[in-house]
Amino acid sequence: MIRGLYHRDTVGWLIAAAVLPVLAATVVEQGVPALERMGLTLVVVLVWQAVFLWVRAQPASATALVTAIAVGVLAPGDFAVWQIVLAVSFGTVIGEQIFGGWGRNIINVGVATLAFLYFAFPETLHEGAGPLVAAACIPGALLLLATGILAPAVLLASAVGAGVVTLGLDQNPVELVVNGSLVFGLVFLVCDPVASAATRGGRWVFGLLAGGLIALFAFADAGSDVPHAVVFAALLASLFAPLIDAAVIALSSSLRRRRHG
Amino acid sequence: MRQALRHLYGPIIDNNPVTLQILGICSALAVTTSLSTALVMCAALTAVLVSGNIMISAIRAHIPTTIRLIVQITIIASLVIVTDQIIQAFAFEMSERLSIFVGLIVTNCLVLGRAEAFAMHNPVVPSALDGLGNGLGYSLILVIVGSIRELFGAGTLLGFTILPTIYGGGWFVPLNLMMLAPSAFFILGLLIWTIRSIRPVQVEPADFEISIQPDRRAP
Amino acid sequence: MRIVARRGLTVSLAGAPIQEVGADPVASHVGVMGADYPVMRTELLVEEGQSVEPGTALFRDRNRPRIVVTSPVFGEVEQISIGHRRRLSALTIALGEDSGGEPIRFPPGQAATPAGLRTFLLESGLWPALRTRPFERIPDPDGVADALFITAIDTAPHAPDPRIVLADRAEDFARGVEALTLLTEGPLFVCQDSGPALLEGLPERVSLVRFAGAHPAGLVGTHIARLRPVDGQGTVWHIGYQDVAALGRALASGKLDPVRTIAISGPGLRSARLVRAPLGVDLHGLLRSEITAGAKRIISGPILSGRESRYLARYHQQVTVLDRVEPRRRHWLLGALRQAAAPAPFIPTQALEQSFGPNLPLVPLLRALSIEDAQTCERLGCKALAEEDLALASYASGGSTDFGARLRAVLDRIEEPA
Repeated sequence: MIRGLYHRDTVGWLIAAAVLPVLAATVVEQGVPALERMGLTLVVVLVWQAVFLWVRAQPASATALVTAIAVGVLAPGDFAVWQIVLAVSFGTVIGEQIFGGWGRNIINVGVATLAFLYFAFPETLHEGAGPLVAAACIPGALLLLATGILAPAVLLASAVGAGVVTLGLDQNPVELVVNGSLVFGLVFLVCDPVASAATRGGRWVFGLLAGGLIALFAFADAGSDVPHAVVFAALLASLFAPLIDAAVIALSSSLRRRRHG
Repeated sequence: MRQALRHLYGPIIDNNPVTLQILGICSALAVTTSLSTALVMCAALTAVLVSGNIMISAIRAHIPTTIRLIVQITIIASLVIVTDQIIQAFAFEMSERLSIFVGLIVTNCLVLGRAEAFAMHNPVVPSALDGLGNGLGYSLILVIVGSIRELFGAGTLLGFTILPTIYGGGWFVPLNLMMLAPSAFFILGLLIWTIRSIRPVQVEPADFEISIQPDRRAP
Repeated sequence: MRIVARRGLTVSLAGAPIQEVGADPVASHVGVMGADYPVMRTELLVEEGQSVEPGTALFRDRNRPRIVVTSPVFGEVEQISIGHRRRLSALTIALGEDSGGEPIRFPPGQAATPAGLRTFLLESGLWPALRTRPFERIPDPDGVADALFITAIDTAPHAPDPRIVLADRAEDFARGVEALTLLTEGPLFVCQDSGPALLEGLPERVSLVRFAGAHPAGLVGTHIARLRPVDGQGTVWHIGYQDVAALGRALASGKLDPVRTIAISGPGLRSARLVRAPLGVDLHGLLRSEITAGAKRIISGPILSGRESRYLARYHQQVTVLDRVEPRRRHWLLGALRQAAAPAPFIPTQALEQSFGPNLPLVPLLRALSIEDAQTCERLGCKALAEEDLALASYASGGSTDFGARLRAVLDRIEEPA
């Protein structure tokens, strides 16, 4: 057998390549502080990956770049160095490394990091990213769709879910579409191939749940803003993903048994 | 004598009710926002555990098997009420801060667990020592978690300022997360990780291992 | 009936064969390998140096003595090597001339009844052409099949086109299909590609099903999953189209024909094409004059599910020749770290979903296979699968875990009490 096509490392590098335009857009929008924040995050993640590589022979992964850019886009507040180091350490160690590295984790590292940041340091203010970041996510998303890494089902279902709930709450869906935080969170956090649902039917339910929650948190909660909404929706949806998969499997196997005895 | 002492020090690290048996976690999360409440809770639980074990062990031959759990709960509940009344009488503000959690010692799986597993089958003195040992083990964990949470969440320990916070004109930015329950989970998890790294015998064996088969055909 | 397999992945590899039977290279040896019959406890019936002809029984299954494997060619047994646990490793036959004398004939007249056909297949050594699902084993001589699948489509990379192969054997194929209706009371499915029918005038209970789509649309596992799933109860049997044509010819003439049309392909060949060669042909000898310069890896079977082997495997219809690549010399530290690690986890990409034919939840199945959790695998429907169904999934997940081998371990464990 020849070396396979979508090895874990290959997929990691492709995702990292897809997220590079967002890096440029974030620096344009927010300037040098964003670069410092992203650089710090990247260093901390790489340090922890090196520690676990040494101690537990777990290979590193290029998704460190996705985490770094996630912190840049979705946590644009004024954080102290120790706060970022603490949050990123938590995110990468507890979110990914103790399970065995990228590919064996349950939630996305960026989501864990950002959730920690939001809970631990809530006084820091956040404004969402703008339309430039939203536009910068598009080439990456197209690359991932074309190479067959991103599941179109999750993306589509999330868009539908968000749209339905937005219209149900009498809000303007265009607000969500031009919001860079939302588009970034959707493409790289919600649609993360490892943290999303793993069955064909499950992906649709997962996408609807994630999209619905994003819209609900963004509009129904007066004190919340879009970065919070996206991160918490992604967190909840990926925590529900195993349950959704189990339900789909149970349903499909009972249908199969009934049809064919 | 050595056997008796083992009942005492066993549950402190090797058979710790919280970190190995994973019992009694709910109260470990709820009351550890400050060290003083944690200490009072420890004392209350240890008292209930020891006296409950003594009483149940003393009458163990006379409890019918079919209603033994009801009898145990009745004894433990009575002791908890007494403890609660004592705390209300002699430390009223502390009782206010602990609110319902002293009363909830009745539901703590640790107390009923030790009564059922040990006091029902062993004489009085070993049961008392076992209760004391488990109480001490539980207290150790609660003190550790409570200290960390109070220190990093408010900069104080037992009310004495250790790290002057920015609210009082100091330099320390308190970690708000420590006031929330998830922080206790994280601290507990890291504690269990540390203990099992030092004592690998406590690590449970995995149900499955990732199969590392030599493949029939190498690429 | 036409079924479009919407999922599928095209694997690109240089050196595709021209779908035309070209000049046949000369073979000097054939081999029968124990690896083709992994569960069989073999009992040898010939010795080294003995002359054999098509139909001479070479060895039989100790547990089911009616099942024999016969020699495909005239020649002399050159070498018998016994391997692990006293099972046959390889039996080599040097090709020889027909020395005259009375050839072994299998009277086709007896094969007009179900029992007679079974005896015909067993005695002539064609019975091992059949395989069961679940478990992918040679069926019991008294076994009952709920359905029979005739695979007349091949979508593996560089596979020979069944239409070209059967071009001059249409009568034999039809005769074989008709005879096979005696093997089962259930339906027979002839699975082919979308195009003109390979078979006109279908006998009773035989239906022609067209499958369109990329690999693995041509695997019998995909067909079984669509037409008659077996992960609940029941057993189905399947057989390849070339063996059916060989059966048809044997029924007409009473003599065994060992020749199969195989595709030789791959970047290591000078002219990739279809050739005719006997079953179990020695690949090194056959291809010596065909390969380009440099060290090669000769793989029996398609690139995805084949194995590096000296002889053509019993169930393979193609040979892929690759250049042998020396492993890169890695720094000792990285090498040591890599050695200690568990195999890299697979990432559940959309491409991976496309690489699996049957309608089973793939990612949970692959996860359960990586830890060899037999109970979960069975619940997810792994009994309907064989190693070849997972070959494309192993490729599309990076190739670090051989899911086919894991599946075989799990199936063996499920089969054990039986």
